[in-house]
Amino acid sequence: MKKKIVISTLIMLSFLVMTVIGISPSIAAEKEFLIGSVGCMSGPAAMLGKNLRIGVEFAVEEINKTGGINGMNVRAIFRDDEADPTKALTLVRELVEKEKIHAFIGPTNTTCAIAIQPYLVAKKIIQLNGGTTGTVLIDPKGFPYSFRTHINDKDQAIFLVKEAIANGFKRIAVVHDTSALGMGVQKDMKDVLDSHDMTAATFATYNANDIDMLPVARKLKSADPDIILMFTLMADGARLLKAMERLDFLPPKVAIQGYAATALPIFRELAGNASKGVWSLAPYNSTYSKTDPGLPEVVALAKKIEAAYPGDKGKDLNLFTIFSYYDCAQLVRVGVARSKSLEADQIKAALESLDSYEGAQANYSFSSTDHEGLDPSKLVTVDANQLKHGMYLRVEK
Amino acid sequence: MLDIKEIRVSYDKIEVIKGVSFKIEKGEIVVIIGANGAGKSTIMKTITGLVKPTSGQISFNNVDIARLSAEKIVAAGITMCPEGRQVFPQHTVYQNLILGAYLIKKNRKVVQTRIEQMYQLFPILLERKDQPAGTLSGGEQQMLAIARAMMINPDLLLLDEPSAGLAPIFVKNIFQMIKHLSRQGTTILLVEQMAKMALSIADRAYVLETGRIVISGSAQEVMHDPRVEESYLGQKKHCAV
Amino acid sequence: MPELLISGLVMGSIYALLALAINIIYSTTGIINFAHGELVMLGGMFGLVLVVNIGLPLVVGIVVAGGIVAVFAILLYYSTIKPFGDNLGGSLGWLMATLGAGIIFRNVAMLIWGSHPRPFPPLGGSELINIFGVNILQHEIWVLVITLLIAIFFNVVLDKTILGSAIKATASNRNTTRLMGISAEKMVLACFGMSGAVAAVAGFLISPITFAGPEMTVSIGLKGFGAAIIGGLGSSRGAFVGGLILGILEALSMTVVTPGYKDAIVFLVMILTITIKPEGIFNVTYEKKV
Repeated sequence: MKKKIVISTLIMLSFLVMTVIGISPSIAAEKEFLIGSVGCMSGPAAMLGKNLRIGVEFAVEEINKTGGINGMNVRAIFRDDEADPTKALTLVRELVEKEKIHAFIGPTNTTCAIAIQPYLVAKKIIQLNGGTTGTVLIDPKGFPYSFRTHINDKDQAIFLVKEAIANGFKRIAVVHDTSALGMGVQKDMKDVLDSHDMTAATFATYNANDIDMLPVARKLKSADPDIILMFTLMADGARLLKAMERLDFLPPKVAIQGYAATALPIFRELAGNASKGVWSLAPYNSTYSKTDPGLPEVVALAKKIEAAYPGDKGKDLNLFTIFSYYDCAQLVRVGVARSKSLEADQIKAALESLDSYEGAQANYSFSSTDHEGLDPSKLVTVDANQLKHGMYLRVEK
Repeated sequence: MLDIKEIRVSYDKIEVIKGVSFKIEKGEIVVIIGANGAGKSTIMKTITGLVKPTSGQISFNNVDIARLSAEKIVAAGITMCPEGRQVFPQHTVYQNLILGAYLIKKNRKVVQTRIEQMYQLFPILLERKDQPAGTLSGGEQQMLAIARAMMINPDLLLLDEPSAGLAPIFVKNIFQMIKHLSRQGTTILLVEQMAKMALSIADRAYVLETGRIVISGSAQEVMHDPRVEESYLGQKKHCAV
Repeated sequence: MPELLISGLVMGSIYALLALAINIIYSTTGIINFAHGELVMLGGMFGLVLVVNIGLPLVVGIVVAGGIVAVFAILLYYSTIKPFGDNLGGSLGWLMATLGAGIIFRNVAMLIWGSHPRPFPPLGGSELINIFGVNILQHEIWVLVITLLIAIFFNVVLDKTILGSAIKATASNRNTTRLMGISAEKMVLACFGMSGAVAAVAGFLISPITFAGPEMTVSIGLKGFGAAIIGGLGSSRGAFVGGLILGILEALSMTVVTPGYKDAIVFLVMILTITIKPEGIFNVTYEKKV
């Protein structure tokens, strides 16, 4: 009896030793650099995952063409979490433990990110977040390996108000829904207004997915604003603009500026004529102006994406979100190349030392205390009705 | 006209009709008497197709109708005035009659003539024609139910407990009416607990006990059968209440 | 204020359209079809395919889509309601089954058409017309007129025709109806067919306002049931009036009170109606089936 126990313990021990040797990272032994990527690729939020996949795929292709990462060929593995946090965690575990990925890009929903980030910390996996906006997700102390390339909602809110004030607008009206996101935006905007000793002309609210927007439009009009800032979900925003059209209260009678989603072609299509002259915002590098076509590399990339997804195929894509995920993969390359290591702590240090990295979407800077690559100063006002290869026209107010 | 051979009916695997055979000839009034739960109503429902027999044959005018749907059986010429009358209480008297004529609804003239005939037969229905049927008295509802079943001028009329819940004066009235319908040429199958009254207008009778026919014969014979006298006629008071 | 009244009336008409079709099914089967909102959505999506993609004229599109959705409604009956038998009052299986069918319709629509909403051509074009200083779309007048016509149609069918009489009789007592030679099944199918056709019409009328997409009826579907309850289940007049009341109430509570409380107010009114006057404004209760 005792013999049996001794033997089985020995066997188990030897297995353990073997596995430990097996997973210990040694750069010389690796032939392939694996990027794991989880996002929502089906269901209502499928277009989020689509943006992620396209961005990462374009980047991986380019990295491999230019010699890979430290001589290693790069391969991306995609998984669909259907926006389900439980599924996201299972898939990330599978990627880390079975596929043995070296870096992670994603996910596409804040709730999924909340579910997987503690695990990524425990496993010491670098995470590049290119599309989820939750403020709590980026915290160099709590999630030391998580970096973000996307503009978060708070930064967008701050940008919108600051930009309006800078352009001399005096009566600023804001419209948003009553969700947690909407109410958060209201608070962020109030803070900026307070710091300028200003108050909003009105904060008009509605419930997400409300159909009848006329009462909201009336409230906005009766506040007599000179600019309206829109933080509205896609269809809600389009309905609101149509209601404003009915009250004959559209640009140039009043300036209207929306957050990032109002730049989407699909939003413009829904709102139709009512979206004429409505401004949006976008990160600087994904824009052009009459005199400046944009960075040549960025324009080239935009053209490539446009060629791959022409017309209706590209309707639900958002160029700067694709750029954002593209930049995620490129930042992984930069981090690994600079640190010459596959160790998460080394890559982290390398990324934190990036002060000005020119990405496709914008110019990023990270530090040991700030893992947000973007800030409101990287955003500009755009006219999304004037697209060139998917890039937006900067508005010179 | 109606020839039933060895039908068996089960509810949830419990057999309630255990091989019943009987015949009805054209022009007859046939009555089935029996205690509560003997299976009388089940036989009626089986003939009208609301309940399907597990085995056996029901032939009507030499056509097997045992597998036909209730709607088809009505079209074949059998109507029923169900137990508890079952008039449509929200519909007016007139609408109830119209529904009774649903199968011949395209022939509006015929429907109107039938309605006139029914008003002649039951003048109270004419008086109440625009009233919701639910506001009628029990006796009036019974007349309406019979009139409704007579709307398509059926070959065979089934009457399930027409006397149930009626005051004695109405009961007498109803039985006179049944006799009248019979004289006008309608064949009638009647199920009744009021055995004496039923036997008095019937040509032939069957006695049903726990799913089997135990006594059969002419109404006179059955009435004078000692077993019937003891169990059904002797307890007349009990049954009538 | 007048434009608020109009938008309230338009939203109200939409709720009424939903309520009318919900009612017609309730009249025969005594159940509420919780997949009705999704039938409306299918009407909108088929409309998109027929009118926008294939290019059929709007009116032809409505007729074809009406036929298709009617078939869907009948299939819905066979798959989610018939299996639970005649004694629907005694089981809640149909409730889960219709709810589930709605979710399936929505998800399949997402797989086929994607999830994002799309613009839908309004009846009479997208030009605004000015009436008494109020800008409205011709489409909105059509919404009001067609809803009214459908309400009148149902009212006439149910109250004035033999078919309507038979439908109500079926609801009241299925077996006795069969003894009149009326096929209860045919009545039920007729009602599901009619509700499907009306759902498609509703889809065409709603889509230009909400945009066409698999989730277009998620928020208004429930209001349709609310309108039917406020007006009195089983009454087409009630459905019409209930819908309009709901729409105007919403528009008012959005302006007078904070918009955030709009849904709360509407559902509060619905709950109050159920408590104080369970039979709704128009008291047309069908007797329970035995």
